[in-house]
Amino acid sequence: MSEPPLLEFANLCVSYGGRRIVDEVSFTLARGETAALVGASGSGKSQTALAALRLLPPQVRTSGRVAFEGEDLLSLPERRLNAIRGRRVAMIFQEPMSALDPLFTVGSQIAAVLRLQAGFSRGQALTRAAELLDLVGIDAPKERLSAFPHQLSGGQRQRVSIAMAIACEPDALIADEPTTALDVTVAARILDLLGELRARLGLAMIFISHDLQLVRRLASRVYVMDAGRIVEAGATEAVFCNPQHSATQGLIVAAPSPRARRPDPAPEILRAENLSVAYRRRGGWFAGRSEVKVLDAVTLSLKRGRTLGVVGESGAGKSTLGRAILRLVPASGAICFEGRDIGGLDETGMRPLRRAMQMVFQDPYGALSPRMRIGDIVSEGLLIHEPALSRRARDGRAAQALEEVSIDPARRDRRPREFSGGQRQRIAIARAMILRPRLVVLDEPTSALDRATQMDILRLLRDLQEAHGLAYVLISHDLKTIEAMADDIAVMKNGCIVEQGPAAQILGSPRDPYTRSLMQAAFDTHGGRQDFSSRRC
Amino acid sequence: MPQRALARILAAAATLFVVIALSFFLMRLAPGGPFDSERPLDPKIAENLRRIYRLDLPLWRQFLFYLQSLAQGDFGPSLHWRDFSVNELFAHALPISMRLGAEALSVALLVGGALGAIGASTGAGLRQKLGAFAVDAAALIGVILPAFVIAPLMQLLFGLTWRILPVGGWEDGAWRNQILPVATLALPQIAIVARLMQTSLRDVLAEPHIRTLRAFGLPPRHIYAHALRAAILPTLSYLGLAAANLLTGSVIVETIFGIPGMGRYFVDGAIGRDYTLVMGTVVVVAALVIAFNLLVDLAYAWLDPRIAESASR
Amino acid sequence: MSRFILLSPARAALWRRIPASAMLLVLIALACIFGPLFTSHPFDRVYPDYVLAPPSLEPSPNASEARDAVEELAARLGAKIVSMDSTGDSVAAKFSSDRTIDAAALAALPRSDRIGPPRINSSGDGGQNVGLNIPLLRTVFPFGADANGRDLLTRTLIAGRVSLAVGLLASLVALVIGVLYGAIAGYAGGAVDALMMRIVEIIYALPFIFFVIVLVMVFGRHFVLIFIAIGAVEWLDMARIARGQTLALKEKDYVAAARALGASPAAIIRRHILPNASGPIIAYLTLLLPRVILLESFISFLGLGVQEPLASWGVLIADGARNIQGALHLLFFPALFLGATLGALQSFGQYLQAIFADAHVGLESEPR
Repeated sequence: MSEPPLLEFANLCVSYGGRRIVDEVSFTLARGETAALVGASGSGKSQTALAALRLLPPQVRTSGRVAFEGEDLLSLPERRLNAIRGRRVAMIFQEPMSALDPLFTVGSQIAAVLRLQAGFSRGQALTRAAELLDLVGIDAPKERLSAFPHQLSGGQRQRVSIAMAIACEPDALIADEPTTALDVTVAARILDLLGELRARLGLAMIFISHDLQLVRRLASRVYVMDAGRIVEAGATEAVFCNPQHSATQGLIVAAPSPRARRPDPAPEILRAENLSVAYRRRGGWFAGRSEVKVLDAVTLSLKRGRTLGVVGESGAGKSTLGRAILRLVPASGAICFEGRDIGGLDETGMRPLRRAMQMVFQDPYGALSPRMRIGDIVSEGLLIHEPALSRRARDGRAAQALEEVSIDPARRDRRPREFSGGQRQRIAIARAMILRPRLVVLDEPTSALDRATQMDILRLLRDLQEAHGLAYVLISHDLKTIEAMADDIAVMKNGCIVEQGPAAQILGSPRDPYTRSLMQAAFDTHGGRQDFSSRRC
Repeated sequence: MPQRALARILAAAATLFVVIALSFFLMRLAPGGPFDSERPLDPKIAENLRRIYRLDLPLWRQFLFYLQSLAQGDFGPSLHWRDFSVNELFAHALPISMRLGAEALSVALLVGGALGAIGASTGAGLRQKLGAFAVDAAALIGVILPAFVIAPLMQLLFGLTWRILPVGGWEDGAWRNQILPVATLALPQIAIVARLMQTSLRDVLAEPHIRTLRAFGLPPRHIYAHALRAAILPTLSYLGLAAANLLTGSVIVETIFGIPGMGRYFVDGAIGRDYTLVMGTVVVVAALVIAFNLLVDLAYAWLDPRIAESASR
Repeated sequence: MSRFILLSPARAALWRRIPASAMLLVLIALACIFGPLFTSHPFDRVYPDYVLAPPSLEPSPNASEARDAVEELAARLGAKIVSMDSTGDSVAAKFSSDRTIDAAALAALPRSDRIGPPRINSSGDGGQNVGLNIPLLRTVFPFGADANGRDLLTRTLIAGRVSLAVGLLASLVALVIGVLYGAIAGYAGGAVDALMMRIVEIIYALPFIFFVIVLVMVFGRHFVLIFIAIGAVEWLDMARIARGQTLALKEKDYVAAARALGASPAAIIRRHILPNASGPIIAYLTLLLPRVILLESFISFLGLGVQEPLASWGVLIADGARNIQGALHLLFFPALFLGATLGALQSFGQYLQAIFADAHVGLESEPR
């Protein structure tokens, strides 16, 4: 305790329109230390970091003290603060696309920091910017200087942000959910980079995340936030192995145990062969048209009452596959549903089949028409498929369907906005179930929900599957969700299935290198699943 | 990029063609047709008309001949001003209208842009409040005082009461004669540009990439330079519409201030049922607006790298 | 005070939430619709004696105008005024003349706007000395009278009816065409959308006022035609907004869910797209109204719109502009009404837009 802390937060409060979003937050960061601020979305962790560098909108009120080497950043004049921002304390943000100016080249953006904050000349700045890009692992750094942000991938953009952040060799780096917007494998590499830079430059780091698992790799201390307060603090391993507060426990709830294998044979309900979807891209009158294949000759099969897990990163074509199976996007190839080829049916021919095959979507906010009563939303399928039904009978069925997903049927006159995310997802499930389908495509049904709610929804889906003998196509980027639900797994990359087979085989001994990197990123292991299961504590 | 420009130019040409065709056939739809005027036509004019319009031919061939004369820059004789061809009228009127329009647009951009930039800064200070108030006031005036109310009022104040500026007339573009027309034309555009600039600058300043600049401690001058570049884009894309609005306004302004520009000829032509003149005006005006839109389009692609690529990739 | 006693707290809160702009609009509309019933002047009645009369709440003729009228009467009769006594509603006067003043002579007098037909109270000297009772015609011109001597208040209100009616009908035409066109283009997407929007762009390139004037010129000046012409040009923005909304909404998962349920495109547009797009569309409609009203005034100002003796605000403002030297009220009152209407509509439209923007944000955020 002899050396004074690099950064000291003391009773920091942030209020917005009378509502406190950060409440009496105090902690310290020593030189070279990495601390993590962890909490669910809306817990105030990002606001804490932004408040430290006075980056919140002007109408937000802050009080308390954030001292950098003893100087209170909250009361420093703007000019003196600017000498600390970027030079001594740097920051990287969650969304690398919007954090960079879309109208300027990445080179000029890095060079601006070097020129204005480190006193480089224009020429020196560009040379140094190229070196920095090289340092953060961007290939052909000299050529990349003249690239615009939109020409880079998400991971590359985040690397550019990191290059900007370390340009002035700061003492501390605040990383605000730096990997949340990225795919798991990319995120893993960005984390490796941050760890490496920390060691090389002796950076102190505040790492902000909603993912406790992620934090475990980097941080030595953890501060768990909930509703604006720090509710639990301590050494990372201690907090992880012995969580005290319910909010901390909520962040590390266990996934439901993997489903037991069911070897008994069941009839095939769905078979897709050589399923392809291509979008035509218009390139103006003379640029010609090019085709982009988002789904490339996918073949799969699903048995009645079973779950096929489709896993892959964003852009892999998973959602397109789900929609193609239900004939919601035009696709080539054969789709057999219960032995019947539905690939060539038109919309009218499809209509009677639609009640047997339903879909549940990712975003529970976008999936319910905001102006309709939830009773009408749930019973819309009846309106289409059982037009003879009286209004009363429909209403009764809607109440039943809501009850089955544990939504109080008395609330069926309410509009979607009055329900929470998890409840809305239940309503969306009720809408699909009211028609008693035999096949349901679940498109990332839990990824917009917080961890605890995710588990509830997965349990509900499992119960419904058992009760009604449903077949699921479960699409997810999250291997843990897949592990909890799937009998078979298909791994997708760039529109193709790179590996598929029984769940135990894929998770236990993945053959494809891509599957292995996915596993590694998801379970933070280098081997198979066993390792993950034993690593609880 | 050149491909995109070429495509744009072709699209503009196609648009102009459609406008010409539309105005041509619309005229032919007129009950009684444009040429059975109650008044007897001068034989020379009648002869000219027949030459241009080939009334004896089927309609589609008439249209081809009309296109041909347009291509040669011949709009035919004026039915109203018997001694002039439409070309002669335009040769005189077009430079006047374009000069007025260009001056009004410059004034609108300078004043409106500055006003909007000042009004965009948020905060509790007196300066910020005054700036925001000025934009609000300008926007309100722009809405509730249309040109045809403002123009007579200014004539009354500056021309009749204080006698410091002429009430009307052109006098070969003497600067004193231009002040009131340009002010009348520019005023509503100032309101719109100020509002556009204010909202877009406010939006941009609230964007994460501006927060990034602040997080790196870059000076306010640098931050504003970044913000302005992005904030100027909505104003730029409004310019095409502004050109059309200015031409509309010039109709009123030229009528009220007695300026011999395109707008006034157009109104007089419309009232006197001078079909050749009105058709010629529509074609010229449409060509101007289309050309201006084209320029704006190309400038936008040059300023925003995302646009140039989304089309060619 | 009584308002808050009569209304429940919830209703009172609602009342307070109605923006001033909406109340002003209702006020103007009511005045224009019912006002002319109470102004006691037909809108086309000409008062030659009150040409360019200034605005005044005092009834005309006032004392000196009454004297002028009586003197004029005497001059016409070739008589001298012996005495004159005003009693509010009438003037008792004694005339003496070389000629006989009898009922026939009085009947032959030209009509006046200031005094009614005089009656003979007493007659002496064979009708050469008469006592006359001259009734005064009390008329009020709160906004003054125009260059033809017509009451400007009545004319402003009548013109308001025309301007508002054209505004509403033309906006309705624009709404119907625009929403149908935009929703179809947006929902169909692809080549259909590209083609339909290309057409919109082409019409955009034409300064609309030229188009409207050409339409009016070609098809003649007719009330109905004006709003069809305006509506037919002003639907473009509406189509763009409806298309934009449709494009955004059709990507929503609830539309995909409806398709997965087997709903037809028409049902999807009706049940899911139009209700959710209605907010921005209504807000834009309120912003379209002032534009249309302005456009009509503009056409009328140029003399291509509504015909005399009917008027719209644009016609009256054109009148005012012609008489600006000496009779400023002819410009002032119509411009005041037009400006107030435009301003109120604009502000109400922005208010609605803000509400719907908020509602939109509210939909995306988690309930607390």
